[in-house]
Amino acid sequence: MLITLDPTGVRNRGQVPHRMAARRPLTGARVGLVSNGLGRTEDLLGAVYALLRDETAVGDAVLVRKPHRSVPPLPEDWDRLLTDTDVVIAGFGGCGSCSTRTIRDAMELEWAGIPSVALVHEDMLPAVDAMTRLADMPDYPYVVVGRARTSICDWDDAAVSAVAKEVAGETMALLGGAVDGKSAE
Amino acid sequence: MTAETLQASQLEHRDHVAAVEDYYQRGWTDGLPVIPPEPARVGAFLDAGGVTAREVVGAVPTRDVIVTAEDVAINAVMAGCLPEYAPVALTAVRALLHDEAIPHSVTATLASAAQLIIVNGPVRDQIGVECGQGCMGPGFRANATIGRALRLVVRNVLRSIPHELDRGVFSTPNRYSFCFAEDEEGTSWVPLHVERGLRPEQSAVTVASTMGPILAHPRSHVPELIIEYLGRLLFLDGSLWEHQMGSVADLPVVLGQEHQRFFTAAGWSKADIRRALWDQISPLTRESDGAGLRLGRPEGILLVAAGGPGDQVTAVMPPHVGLAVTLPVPSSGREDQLGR
Repeated sequence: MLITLDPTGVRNRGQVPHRMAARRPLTGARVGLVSNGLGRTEDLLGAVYALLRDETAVGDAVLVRKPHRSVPPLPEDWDRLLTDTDVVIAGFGGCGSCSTRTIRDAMELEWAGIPSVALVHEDMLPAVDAMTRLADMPDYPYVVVGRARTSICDWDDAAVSAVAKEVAGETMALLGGAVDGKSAE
Repeated sequence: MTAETLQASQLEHRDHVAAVEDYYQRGWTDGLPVIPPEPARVGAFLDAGGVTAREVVGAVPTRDVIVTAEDVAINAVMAGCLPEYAPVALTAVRALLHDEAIPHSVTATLASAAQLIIVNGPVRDQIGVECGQGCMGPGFRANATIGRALRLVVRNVLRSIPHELDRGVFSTPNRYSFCFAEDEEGTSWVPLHVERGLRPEQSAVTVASTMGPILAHPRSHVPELIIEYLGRLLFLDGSLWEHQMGSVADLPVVLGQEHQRFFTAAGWSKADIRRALWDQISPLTRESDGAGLRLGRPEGILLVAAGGPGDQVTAVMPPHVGLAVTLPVPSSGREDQLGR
């Protein structure tokens, strides 16, 4: 009989409970927009915010630009998100490292009590799902932009506007409580 | 012997062949067979590295992963590493997991980055890391298995698996293994690790994530014309400019033996080459979007001498994100001061 060892190590979840934040009505909610700078991400987030504002009278927007596509927000920007926002939209998850970091941004904000949603591209779903499994939140919901658009967000103005309209409804639903049958816990 | 302190789950197999097949079935290999990581082998590796099983080598918080020396040892044994490779393999994993290397990004990317490991100092000869003819290819156990050990850690511990977390469009054969040494004796140039702040008698590992190599064959013996060619090639590739990757980066450039001769015959030091290449590329701005250079300073050009004679070739290593990290290879396994 031969004895060997498992090479995969053990996960280290830390002390913070991995669960979704409680949803509240969006009226008046301050909206954090976490941009990773991929292509037209900032324009897309702005367009989605404008639609939310028109539809549900959300409060002001707080834009956070990350220093790089696949790192968390700077500590001071993280603090701004925790103190100056009530919900957050993170994007755009259109490449391997930025999609996985975007979904992680959203999950970590949830753990800190901020309802959040990640906008990700369909082509990146295997990686996004791998991240939610690693965080023990395999059913954590997100909003998907389909393959009709390129994943790296190099869209023209018309495409940015069209995508915003396509995703705004589900974004509102996920931030405001209706999760369409999906739940994280 | 530290085998008694190992924490990993144990598996039972009928024999070695059954173990190898089981590791395939569990998705724990890179597609090639592995050496079954028996506790005694893993313990010997840890002892040779001067580390305890639970010593933390690094972390990827994005994935809730803490990498221990035991994790590295298991995967290094699987890769075929000998125990005496332990200090170098452990240092390579430490370097990849350094914050400045942005380990989450470089192991999840569409861009198919691989991790280039460059070994400097006396350890090259002690364990036989090839620096000459054929050094980037197969045929050298230390090169092949140290590079493979790092990649098995990336796969098995960091969970960068194709069709899952790893989104590399093509991926690259360099992800099987990409490790070689600098030919410090072939020229009078200052070795990479000394340029990065370490002493000549120290051993060191530098890890950089790259989409390279791109082999450059400028048909000239004139240093200025070789530099001009390299600059044009880098500009055409584009990965040094912000529009592709976004973050600051370092640029490894591996000068082959013939190019080493041309530069040294003309009296050029590494500093001269670096300055000339910097002057060549730093004024260039991408016209399409005005993107600036990601290479923030001349010192970001990491010049390395390696390879064999014959072809007039230099290997440029277009960078992914993050910086190259150079760490000393400890003799005890416990000295991990950043080299720069």
